[in-house]
Amino acid sequence: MTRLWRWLPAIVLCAVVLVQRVHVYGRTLTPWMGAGFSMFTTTDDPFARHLRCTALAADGSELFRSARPTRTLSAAMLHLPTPSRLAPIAAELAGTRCDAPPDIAREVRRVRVDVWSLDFRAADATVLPRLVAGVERDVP
Amino acid sequence: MTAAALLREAPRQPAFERAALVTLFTVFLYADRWTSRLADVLPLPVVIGGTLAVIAAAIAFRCQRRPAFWLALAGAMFAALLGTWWTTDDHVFLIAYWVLALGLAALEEDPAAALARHARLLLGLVFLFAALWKLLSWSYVSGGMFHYQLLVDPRFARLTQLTGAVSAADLAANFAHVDALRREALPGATLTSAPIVGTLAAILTWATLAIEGSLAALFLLPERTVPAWVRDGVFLSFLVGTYLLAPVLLFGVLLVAMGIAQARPRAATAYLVALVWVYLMAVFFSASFAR
Repeated sequence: MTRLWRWLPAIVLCAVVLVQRVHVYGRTLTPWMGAGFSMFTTTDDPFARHLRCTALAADGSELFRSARPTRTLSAAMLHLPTPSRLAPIAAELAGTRCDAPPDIAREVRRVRVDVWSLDFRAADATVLPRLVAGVERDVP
Repeated sequence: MTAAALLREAPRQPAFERAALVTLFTVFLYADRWTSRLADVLPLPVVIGGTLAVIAAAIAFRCQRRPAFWLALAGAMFAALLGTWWTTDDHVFLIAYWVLALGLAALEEDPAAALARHARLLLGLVFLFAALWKLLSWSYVSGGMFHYQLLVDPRFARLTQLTGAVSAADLAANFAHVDALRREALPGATLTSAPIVGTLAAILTWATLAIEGSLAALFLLPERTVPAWVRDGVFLSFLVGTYLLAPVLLFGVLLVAMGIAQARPRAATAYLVALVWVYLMAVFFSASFAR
């Protein structure tokens, strides 16, 4: 057996780790997933990832903000939120105007759909949302 | 690599056999993901009986010694991972690497020695990367990551509760605050903590980094430079300590399979005890969270 075969599992492991880091640093992948062996390195775990929908007026001001329970979303969308993955749900939420009450919904011209994570500030034990990725879409 | 080589049966070696059988058990646990789906459409006794029959057949035909079996299994696992890699836990990938290593080792003249080399290398790399990413993360080295887990993760919150500094009701409220933050798009949430939780987080932070860094060195340094009992002792301590807090059954059983493959024959029993420990901790935690 050639030397390369003997190293194959280790080479594959290192190659996948490299791909995972590229996606963590450059493409919003949660460090807890994708075989980089970086679980428990940050508070940005799959549980922390969540979706928020912001309804915007014609001048861009925020009218209403709502969160979607993650069970209605695919894990793929939250773990690695790319514009193409967020586009279908942005289209769906543009149709419902982020589920805004009827009096506000009339004013909504655009929606922003963002995936957020959670940061922890140990000094005062405060959990703060942190924007990971998002897309905007006009309402139909 | 010829078809005859792939289909041959590797010589029987106790060290290889032990690791292969524990790996079969790991694969059996991993297969639970599909068998639980099958149970939705087939009667449960049929699913359990069928799964046991497949495992029994694999052992009866001595599949655990055949390169073709492990390489085909590795191929199926990598194919399954391709479309879902970014939603998959690390240990599921590690099973695929390990199954590939079993297949390649079974092709060698001395499968047990080859598998021991693969085990040390893969374990060394896993702990090297685990320690490296922790060291490079401010959230981790500041102690914030463990501080947060100690306040909201039920597995770690048990440790916080033991200190008596934060009550069970406050810990439940912490979890509810974080859940509300996600579900109601709130701007932030302040959790109930105590100074001792920060101290505990600092201890966990540096103890984890120390043991993972040590394991990376122990497995990656040339074999002869580290006494085997030191390597096995530190690794077994890691298994016992980690699975006392965060028992991920599949990962634990897999680490035991890899540990047993590279261990001295005398240490094999200790690894089998660790296997029972990992299993019991997983059952205990699963039962206690179900309450």
